Amino acid sequence: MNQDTSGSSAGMPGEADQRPGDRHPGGPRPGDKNKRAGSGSGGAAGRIISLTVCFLCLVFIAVSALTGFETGIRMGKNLGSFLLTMVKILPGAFILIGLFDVWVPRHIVERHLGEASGLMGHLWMILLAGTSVGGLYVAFPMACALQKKGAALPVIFTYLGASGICRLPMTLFEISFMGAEFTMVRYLVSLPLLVLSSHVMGTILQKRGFELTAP
Amino acid sequence: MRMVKEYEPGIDSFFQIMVKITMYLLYILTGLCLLLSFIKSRRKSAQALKIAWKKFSRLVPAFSLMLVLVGIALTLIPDRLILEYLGGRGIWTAAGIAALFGSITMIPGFIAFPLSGILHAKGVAYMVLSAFTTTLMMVGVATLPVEQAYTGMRVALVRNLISLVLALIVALVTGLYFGELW
Repeated sequence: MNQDTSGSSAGMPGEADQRPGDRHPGGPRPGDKNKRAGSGSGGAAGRIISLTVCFLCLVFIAVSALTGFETGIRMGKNLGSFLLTMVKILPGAFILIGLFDVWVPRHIVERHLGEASGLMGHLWMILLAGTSVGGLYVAFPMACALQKKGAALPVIFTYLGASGICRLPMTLFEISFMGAEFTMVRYLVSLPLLVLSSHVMGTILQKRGFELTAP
Repeated sequence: MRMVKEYEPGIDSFFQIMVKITMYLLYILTGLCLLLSFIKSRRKSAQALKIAWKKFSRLVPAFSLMLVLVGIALTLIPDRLILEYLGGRGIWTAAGIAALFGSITMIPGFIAFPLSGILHAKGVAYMVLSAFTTTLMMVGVATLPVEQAYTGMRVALVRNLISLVLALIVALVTGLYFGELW
């Protein structure tokens, strides 16, 4: 119901959203951007390739629909239903991310999710991930917004992992079809390992000055 | 104590309703937050919407590539094929194939879990199903375009590899817990 409003009322791209002072209180981390510049992440070339692939795919589906090629038609249907899910989720999710960006003060994020937050930071992130919708494709923009406000990398990796592991609606499905024990074993094994691996990976990357960059 | 439901295509409208409720909750929450925000400051709210649009519009290429990958994966690996491949095999082979399928495709939970329910009724081991559903949730080959836009390809690959290892450990422990390995 809100898709239209979100799209049109916000339809003014190209404004800088970076307020000075909102990024890295400890000063910028030189070298990081340059290090990854060559990896082709989100660059203009990457965008053109992505859009070309999509265009070719749409042409393929259109041709299949005209000639009655069944695999192509099925692909179109699959793509369409997934697109529909995304169209339903994304406007709400991105508006919430935008509001978070504007309203939540940096010091709160830093205190609860920053480098000194320890295990509690991980727990908060598991709770946040558990109650969020969508998959990784929503978790990444959110993670990026969190990092901009001072959340530490280990905690962010826990959020990304947990958004796959323990989203609440999915867990309810799992329990009803697979049984509570199945879910319990999965939670008890995966969450501690996730926190451990996020801690190791996040700490190493943080030392190297790595950070998520918005495309 | 274990309540495993049989999969009946007509009956799971309950779950469709649950998905809808989640969606309504998302929009009620978004609406309330937006309303409060507008009451407090129109300027800041406009800024929030601008940020939302900007973040979204920049992700469109990555999103569309992800859509195509999901479309291809769902078409090449339809539910029937999964049913066919996981039944009547050794547990280790089946778990390997399950992990592969789970990593590549991106099936929503309200299809994947009922499907696993049928598979279990057909005698597929919990370990195999765990390998399937856990990789489905944790490893995302299809979401790599979105992920690499934020972290670069190397970190994205490492993160997914670690997730794969975690998922396999989960599957293994599930197999041990349900006594399927001895």
